[in-house]
Amino acid sequence: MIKRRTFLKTTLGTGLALSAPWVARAQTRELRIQTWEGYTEPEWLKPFEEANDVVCRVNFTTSDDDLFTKALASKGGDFDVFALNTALIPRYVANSLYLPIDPSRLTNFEKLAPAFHDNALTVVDGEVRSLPFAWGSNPLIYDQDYFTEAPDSWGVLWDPALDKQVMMVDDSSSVISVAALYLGYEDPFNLNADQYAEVKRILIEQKQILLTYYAGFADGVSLFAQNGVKAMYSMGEPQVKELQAQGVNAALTIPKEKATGWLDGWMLSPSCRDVDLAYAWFDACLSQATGKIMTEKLGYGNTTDLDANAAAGLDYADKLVWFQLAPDTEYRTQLWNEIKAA
Amino acid sequence: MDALPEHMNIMAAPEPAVAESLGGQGHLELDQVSKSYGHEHALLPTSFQVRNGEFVTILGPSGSGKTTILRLIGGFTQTSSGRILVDGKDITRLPPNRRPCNTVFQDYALFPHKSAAGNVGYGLMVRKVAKAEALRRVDEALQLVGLETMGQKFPSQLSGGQQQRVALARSLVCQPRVLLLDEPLSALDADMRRQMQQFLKRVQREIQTTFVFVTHDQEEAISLSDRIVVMSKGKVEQIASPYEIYYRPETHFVATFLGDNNLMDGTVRDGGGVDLPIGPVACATDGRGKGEKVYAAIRPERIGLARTIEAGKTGIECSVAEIGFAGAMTTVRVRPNSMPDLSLLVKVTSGRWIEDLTAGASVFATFDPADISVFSRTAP
Amino acid sequence: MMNPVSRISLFVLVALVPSVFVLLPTIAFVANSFFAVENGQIVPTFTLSNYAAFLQQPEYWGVFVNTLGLCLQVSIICLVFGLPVAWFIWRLPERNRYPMLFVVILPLFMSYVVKLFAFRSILGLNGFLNQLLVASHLIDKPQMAFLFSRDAIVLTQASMFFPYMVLPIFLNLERIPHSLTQASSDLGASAGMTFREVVLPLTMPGVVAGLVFVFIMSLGDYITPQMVGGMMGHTFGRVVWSQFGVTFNWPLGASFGVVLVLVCAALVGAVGMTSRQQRI
Ligand SMILES: Nc1ncnc2c1ncn2[C@@H]1O[C@H](COP(=O)(O)OP(=O)(O)O)[C@@H](O)[C@H]1O
Ligand SMILES: [Mg+2]
Repeated sequence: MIKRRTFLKTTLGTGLALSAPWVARAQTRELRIQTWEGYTEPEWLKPFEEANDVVCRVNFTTSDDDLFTKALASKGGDFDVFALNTALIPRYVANSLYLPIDPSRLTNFEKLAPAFHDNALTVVDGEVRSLPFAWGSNPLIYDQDYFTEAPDSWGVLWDPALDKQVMMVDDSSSVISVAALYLGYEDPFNLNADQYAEVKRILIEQKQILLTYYAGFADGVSLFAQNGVKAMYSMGEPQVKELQAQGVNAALTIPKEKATGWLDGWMLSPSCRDVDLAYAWFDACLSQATGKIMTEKLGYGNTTDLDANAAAGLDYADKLVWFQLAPDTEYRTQLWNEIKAA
Repeated sequence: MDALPEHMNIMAAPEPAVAESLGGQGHLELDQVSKSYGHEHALLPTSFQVRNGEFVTILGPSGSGKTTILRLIGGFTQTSSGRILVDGKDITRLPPNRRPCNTVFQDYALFPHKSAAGNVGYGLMVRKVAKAEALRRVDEALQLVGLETMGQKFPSQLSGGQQQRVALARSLVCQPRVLLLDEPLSALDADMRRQMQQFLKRVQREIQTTFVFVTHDQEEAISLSDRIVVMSKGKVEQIASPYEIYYRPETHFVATFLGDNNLMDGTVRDGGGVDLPIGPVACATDGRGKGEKVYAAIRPERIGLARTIEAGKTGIECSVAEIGFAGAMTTVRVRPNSMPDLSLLVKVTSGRWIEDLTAGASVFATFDPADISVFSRTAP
Repeated sequence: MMNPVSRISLFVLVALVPSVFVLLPTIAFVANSFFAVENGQIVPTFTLSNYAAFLQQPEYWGVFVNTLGLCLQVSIICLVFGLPVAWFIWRLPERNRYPMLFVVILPLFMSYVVKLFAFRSILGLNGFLNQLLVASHLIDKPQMAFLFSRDAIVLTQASMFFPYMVLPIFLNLERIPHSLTQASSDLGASAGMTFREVVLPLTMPGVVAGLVFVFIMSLGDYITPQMVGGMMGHTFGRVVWSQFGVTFNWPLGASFGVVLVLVCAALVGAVGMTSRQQRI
């Protein structure tokens, strides 16, 4: 996850001046936004400011852990709204660092596509905790010069014919999740002991043919390009573009076993000073125009304009399993160490 | 510390057997040897020979090329031209480890990680001398330098003088044909230095190894050497016995470098003798032609002073300018009445009549013309 | 002379900064290794369970032992090449000596990660080494064998830490008076004997310093193994890293860190004792 952010920070970086904090003025209304870079592009931030006579103070999140620490310390007092990976919602719920959102106050709530409207991570017991806004996935990336048609299963990453030509990422939660998907387990984030044993077995088996566990977004791209890799577990869609830029005839696919995906949403801080304004911001973000621009400009999947998603090739949101916090990360790390030491 | 041990009586000779096992004399010859660094001439073409068992000192001020000569002989620097021979064998191109010479370095260059015995035995070890014999020879060498009880000490545990002696023993144990010593005593205090000088001289006499000794100290050179090579600016000024160097200098540099001297301009007379400011003097001119410009030099102690002058003796009438009493000797500066600009330095044995001498007194300066040495003023 | 009181207060003042910034974090670190984690929160109790975990689980101590072997290999390779190189530079004429030294330590001025990527592109399938070997007909098609192996880790680390071996040895050599090697030669030793009997013993402190530097750097390096080690890239550094960066089990990670520090300290101590016996 974090790797994707870093990548974005270095590749994007235009048009952010408007959202800089010094724009704030005392006499107008003010909205304090805590977010990842990219979610407050001027294309929708500026119209929002003008329409509501408001000045937005935007603070960029640098890491999930920093944000959580900060939120804990101030009880969310530093911002009115914040963007968060939906996987992390339980953490904030456990610490009362959120306010439930009332969908009846939003004109655009019904614009959410079905996969996002009733998402199990964001709507719990009828309570709307987060408004899905942007998403991406961890697809299978493959070399089209080798595969005449897209491989339909994660099994290619276990195919002895591809000895030293397949890669996984060096991250316990990704690797264990995708192995669980490949094994056909419903919920890769909640595994029992037998399932873990199977996961461990096939991951150790996979080491026989794996070229390496790559370290990060750019690392995966350069290794793929330099070493004749045929297929890999991807850290995100932008890797395809990067590979193509390096002359690799790369493409992505979501295998039949599904793939993991990340889903970011907007949340309401318990210390929100201007709730009306916060809802206005949510509405602005959930408008189809905003979704379209974001997908076209940044390449993220949006949650309202499916045509724009389809045009960008992002037509597989329903084939993704959204990331969740595993209840046993420590055990997963230990398992991961055991697999690597095997 | 640093007094030599009691039993090391300077006069006591080492056992003949010891002397034999450490000795070895060689004949050294430098034939037009020179060394330059880029455009700088550290040593101009130089030739001289050192006889078997001779103690030759190279004397000169700092930077005159003394160390350069030693390094060329030792093989640490390559000659720019010329040949170096030991016992008639050309060693010019041999590396240091194959030369029959050993060096006692100015900073001793003892190996800090080896004991005194380890240092002394180093040359034997690299020559793969049998252990028992090596041990015996190391013991002998340590005995020769009076350090037989110090063998297990490390250099850092030894005084300067002791280190010096270890360095000497280390070189001698290799039985060099020629031993090279580069200002080995310069780091010692005056007392120790005097003792070591006599010690060195004694060792050299007993083992009769050829010594080439470098110093910038004139007294050291004079008291130790059989012959002295005086150097200046990369050039040999004169090679001669200490007496000749002192009383028969051949260049202006030699005449003034060693001790006090009286130097006068002169011109060779027709039929012998020299015209000096104090008048014509009938001294030897070594066949120099009439009218040749020369220097005439006479040592202060070779001039006498007298109140009156006996008939038939030459004497120059002078007035006393300065008197300096220095114990046994008194130095007196006088000016000839005929040449008040000239001042002569005189050293006389202190006597009662000297006590009565006062500045301005009138005296006669007397000398034997044979004590005047004459050398060319247009020196090469 | 200063009076004792002001001298002591000056000392306290000067010592305060390093103690606060070095000692305190270290103490906190060591203390952490005795803490426990419950429900994702660090609980400040006293337990030895972290150390027990290290000793009981082979995926920890086994990797640790393997990693020590790897570091030793890297150190020895650095030494085998570093000593002659340092010696060679030292023997150069003064005019060329420091420029040459500069060339050898130049890679130190380059970013670590940049060097790693460079190594990988050299050793990779489409990399320089393969192209060279194919072009010279030594192999008929590019090999994957140069990258992603234990040897690749050793080679890469040895190259990256090489200057840390050369530098202390060279500086040590510089402290040996030339008169000592000349004296050795003068006494009849060949160049080889002089090296063995004089240069090498007197260079031991530099050699030891270099070995310790390289060993510790290699032990602490958790990036190179990941980047070039492939399936062999699981070293102790990565195990420690996973406790801090992935699991947030700081107490366990801290206990591993303490083990690392103790091993390094024991190493430096042992080495210090042996070199003291050398009287250098
Ligand atoms: N390695 C060298 N490079 C350049 N010049 C040198 C070198 N060694 C000696 N010299 C020069 O040669 C001259 C003689 O030096 P040296 O023999 O050491 O004199 P001494 O030992 O009489 O003091 C000096 O002018 C010195 O600067
Ligand atoms: Mg000298």
